[in-house]
Amino acid sequence: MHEFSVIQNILDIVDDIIEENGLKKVTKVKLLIGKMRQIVPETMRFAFEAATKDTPLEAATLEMTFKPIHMKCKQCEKEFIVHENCYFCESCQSSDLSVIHGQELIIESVEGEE
Amino acid sequence: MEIKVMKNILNSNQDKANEIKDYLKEKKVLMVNLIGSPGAGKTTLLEKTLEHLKGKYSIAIIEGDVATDRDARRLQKYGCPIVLINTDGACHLESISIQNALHEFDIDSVDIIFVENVGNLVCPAEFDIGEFSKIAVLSVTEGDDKPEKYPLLFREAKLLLLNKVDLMQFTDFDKESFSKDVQTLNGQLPVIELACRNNEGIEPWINWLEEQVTKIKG
Repeated sequence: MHEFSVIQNILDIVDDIIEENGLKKVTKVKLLIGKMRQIVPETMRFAFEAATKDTPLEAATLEMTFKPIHMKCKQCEKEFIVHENCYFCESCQSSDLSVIHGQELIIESVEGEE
Repeated sequence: MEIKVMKNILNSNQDKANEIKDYLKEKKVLMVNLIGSPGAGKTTLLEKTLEHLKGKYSIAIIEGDVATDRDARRLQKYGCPIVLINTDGACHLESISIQNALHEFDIDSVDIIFVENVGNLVCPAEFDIGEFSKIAVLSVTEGDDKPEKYPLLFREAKLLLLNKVDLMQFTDFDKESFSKDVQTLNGQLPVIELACRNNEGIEPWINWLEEQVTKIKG
């Protein structure tokens, strides 16, 4: 359900971009989403469609790229990708980790017509 | 034309959360964010906690609810300042409403702020509200599979309170499987077992809180 809040935040940012670049309409919004974020793509699309009706984003596509969860062990510095929610260092089994990727929630780019 | 943006979508929430963190640090106030499903026992936990801390610390409460003031009314008898935030349908609290709520308190006389987030295991975990730590409240009646199904909360939390352990014998809750899942998700997460209804396990929780207050007060 937080997808609706996320979409609202996206629209606030895109509104500024429309104004700064004098866009008449937006054709694509590209997002980068870390897999830790629990974002459901279908819900995002639904929220995006509902929120952009009768706006310059009405015909825009929402492109979402999901980034895997990439951690670094604080003990042995090994970097690894998390599979099936298993947050253990592959080499030393430590659970003392830092996140490198996976928490992203980023607007990469906006495509539009002037 | 393509315009490169590379902007964090939740920047405005995060900026406010960082301001709150700095503010509370300066004022030496502990703020914890209680997150759990509806019915996990968050309000009952607060009632028991207030009974134990009454007279020892000055406490303030921020109650997040989709609608009604029922939880806030339950806590009124303890005489702490309470700010109720009705989210009108939103499934979580955001930092802007917390910042507004903080203005309602006489912050220089507050030691601990408890935020009871909207009952939900997913969304509140996504939004930093400037808290010192997120605390996951889970009850055994919800099932042992919840950490695996809602991983972010259990990654973000600094403490997991497992409530209603007095009812475990009447449920299919598999403690071994639960502990294994929690370990796999977050081996750094301490777990305290509680039964708020009969005060079981309240002491370790109070001790944890007192340790955090000491840390913050320096």
